[in-house]
Amino acid sequence: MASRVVITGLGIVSPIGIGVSSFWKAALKGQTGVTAISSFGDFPMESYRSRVAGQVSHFQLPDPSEDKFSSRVDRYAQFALAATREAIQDSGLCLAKERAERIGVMAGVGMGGMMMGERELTTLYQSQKPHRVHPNFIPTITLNSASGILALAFGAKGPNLTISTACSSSIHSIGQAMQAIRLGQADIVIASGADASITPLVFAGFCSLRALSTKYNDHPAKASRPFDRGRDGFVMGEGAGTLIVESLRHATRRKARIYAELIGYAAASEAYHMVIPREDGSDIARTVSLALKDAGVSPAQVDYVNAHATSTMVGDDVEVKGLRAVLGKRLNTIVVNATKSLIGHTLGAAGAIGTIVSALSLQTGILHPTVNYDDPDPHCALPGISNKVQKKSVRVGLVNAFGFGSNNAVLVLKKFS
Amino acid sequence: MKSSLPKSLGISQQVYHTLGKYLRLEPSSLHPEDSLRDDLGLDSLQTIELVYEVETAFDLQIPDEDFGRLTTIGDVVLYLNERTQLAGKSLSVPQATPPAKHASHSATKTKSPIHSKKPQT
Repeated sequence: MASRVVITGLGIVSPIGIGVSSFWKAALKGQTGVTAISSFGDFPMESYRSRVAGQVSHFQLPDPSEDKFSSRVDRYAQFALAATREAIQDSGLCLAKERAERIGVMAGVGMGGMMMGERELTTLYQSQKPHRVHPNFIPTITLNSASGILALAFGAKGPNLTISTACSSSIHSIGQAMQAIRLGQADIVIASGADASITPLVFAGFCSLRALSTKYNDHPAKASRPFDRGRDGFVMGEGAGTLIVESLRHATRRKARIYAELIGYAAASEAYHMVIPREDGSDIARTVSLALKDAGVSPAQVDYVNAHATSTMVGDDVEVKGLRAVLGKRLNTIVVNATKSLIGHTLGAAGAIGTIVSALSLQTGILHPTVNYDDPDPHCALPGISNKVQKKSVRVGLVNAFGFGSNNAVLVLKKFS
Repeated sequence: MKSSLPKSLGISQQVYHTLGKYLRLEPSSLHPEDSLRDDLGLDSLQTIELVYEVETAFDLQIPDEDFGRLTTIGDVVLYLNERTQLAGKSLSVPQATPPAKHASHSATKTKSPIHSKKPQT
């Protein structure tokens, strides 16, 4: 029989707080971390159609005497290191006393080290001197630089993978962490998600794709508004989330505090379009059904959904269609919220942060508001979405994430008992 | 190639400035006899990064075959002096800081150097 899998540690770097405690307090107050982008250095922001983002402020690198790794990696991996350091501390684990070969790392990364990437590209093209490209460029932009540096920093010698499926990356990293434990490949997995690519080129790319909100440049806090009639695109964010995923046996033996149990996971492709979900929501429905089947629970047992809900016109609508196809009338009685209303879309970190939110919601019975849900869109409005904090005991929750490349992922969490 | 070059030359000042910036150490805490590997703790990638910083600062290219000559800080100074003389010109580096007199040698040792081009927002 496969091992049961639990979450025993949490860590976060987000636009509304660095550290789980400050993040959670801000989330329950409905604080938004979406602000105006002041500048990209010398780049004039006026030429960008969208000028708002969920930006992490006040992030400080640890003292090099305590952390020799952060200064050698790009911002996204620095976030992953900080979130993971917190998660390990939170878990109570002393990794030095664990068998290193039984500790894995699974990192979800959408864009990776684009900051250094853009800087070195600029250097090369402006200087036209190949030897001006920094020697650490390749190790830094390689997509597994976060999972690699996490293994180095924390001595994890088990399975080490990076999963890059755009916005669904870190649901898969957690799902694969769960699978590795179920298969007996590891006792502990550091499951992380991180991205920090609010850069001139990436931001221009999302603008050109017409994917970002543009109507709220003068009112940034209003820009991310999932399920609201006035939504007009997603808001880029940055951040990282890490969960310590552990076999129940291992966690029980060391008397660990358990936030929630991971009971189901599904990965599926829509094989439909690189950036648009199938409009009838049928593939989202199929992914949710697969996850529930894996979890061994029925749709009638679901009482919370942490929605993908990026605040795009099509995406929010299709997600509700997919959920309704599986949950039916039950969808009108359960709590649904959108973490991206608070922090924007943190891409590769989004699934991990959504799962952290879900674990805390199951543990506490307190559910953060979906801010800016002021004028519910009849196409996707639900009774359980609220711009106020909600208190309700929830036992089974879904976390959704859907990525470019026709990629869907769903996790199922259960209150631990 | 160990060297005990005096640190009185302009090139020397520029080298100490560049190395100090890379290592996040005061130029005055560096010594000609400091081994890049054994005293400063640089691994092979960090040595390559340091050479990159020197190349950038001095606007020249150091070929792979010359790497073996660069064992100590003094070696780097000597090498750059030779390259300068060969080129028949004087190299200049903006914002070069003259190295001050050393304090304690033991205070210069580090086993965890880090490069100066840290990722920035």
